[in-house]
Amino acid sequence: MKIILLFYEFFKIGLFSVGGGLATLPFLFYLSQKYNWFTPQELMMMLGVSSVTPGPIGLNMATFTGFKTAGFFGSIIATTAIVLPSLINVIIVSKIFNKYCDNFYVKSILYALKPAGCALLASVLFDLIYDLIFNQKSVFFVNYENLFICIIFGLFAIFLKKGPIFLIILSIILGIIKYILFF
Amino acid sequence: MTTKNNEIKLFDIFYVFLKIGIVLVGGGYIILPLLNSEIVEKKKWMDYDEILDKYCLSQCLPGIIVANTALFIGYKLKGILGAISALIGVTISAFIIIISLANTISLLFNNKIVTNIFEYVNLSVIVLILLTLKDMLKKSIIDKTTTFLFLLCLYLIIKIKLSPFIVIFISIILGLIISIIKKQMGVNKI
Repeated sequence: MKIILLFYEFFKIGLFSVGGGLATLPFLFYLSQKYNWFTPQELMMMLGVSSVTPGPIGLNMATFTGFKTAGFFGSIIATTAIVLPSLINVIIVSKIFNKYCDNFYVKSILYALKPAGCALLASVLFDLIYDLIFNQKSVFFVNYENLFICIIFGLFAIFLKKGPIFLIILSIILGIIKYILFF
Repeated sequence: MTTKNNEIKLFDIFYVFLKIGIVLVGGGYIILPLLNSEIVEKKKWMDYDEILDKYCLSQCLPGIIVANTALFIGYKLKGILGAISALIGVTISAFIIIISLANTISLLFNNKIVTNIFEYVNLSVIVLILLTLKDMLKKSIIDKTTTFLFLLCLYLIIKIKLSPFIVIFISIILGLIISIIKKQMGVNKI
């Protein structure tokens, strides 16, 4: 019974959370209130853990919840459930676009979808900048330490052509150094 | 230029996405630069424009964006089996790590060290999203209509705080209406 419930809840998240990544958070908060599978505190901790380990929060939370509630089998069920709607969607959308790629309406939809996709990613970017550079207050409260590090990362990426892996590893090392120095 | 699809083995797809999956920290936002270096530059399976297209589409579909992107590319390379290989490849390392840490996770990651690393990783994610967005905008914002749609969507998400689902729906409807009007007036083709 638990397995079916796990499958049902995570399938719903996979089916309805548009905007990816943090878009799954409200659904997960709702889950933490509806069932005693995990606490909101565990969810916030997993958000942090997900940024240091591979995989986005939605996926990691599915694996974590499944494992905690029904063991290894549960984690497979929950993880499968959250990606299954994607599999179905992608196959249908790919088929339609391959078959009707010259169709006027399909072209118009794609033409309008791309700016929306950009806007979704841009909103994530603004949220992150607001949180980390402006300390969630206003444009007058600049966190100069974070701004400086961000600019350094930018210089590494643009002028030294360092890839994403380099930047991520560098930031993890810096985070550990800061922890050792200040705590 | 790009390799023919029938020369690509399922295991190769799995392996490439496994490599991407292992380094996919920071919440999955860095997948585009990773795909660019692995699939476009090293393997030459697809060109960057096509990957950008799939990534844009993945943003708009429901579900986890990383999974959507992997599925789109896998499907394009080798049909349904290719899609499943890519999906398993990109998710399996996260799966194994979370399972092996599940019982001790709250002990291992005491909150202070996680918040420190979390903050710095997100700072590099800002830079990486900025670079991704620059490429996406160059490809998607090609005329006045798309500029208008982009700004409108951004306003609706950030200021009005509408859910992404509704924003995408509005964008599609407006895009269709504008395209139909343009077609009626015979202005230009898309």
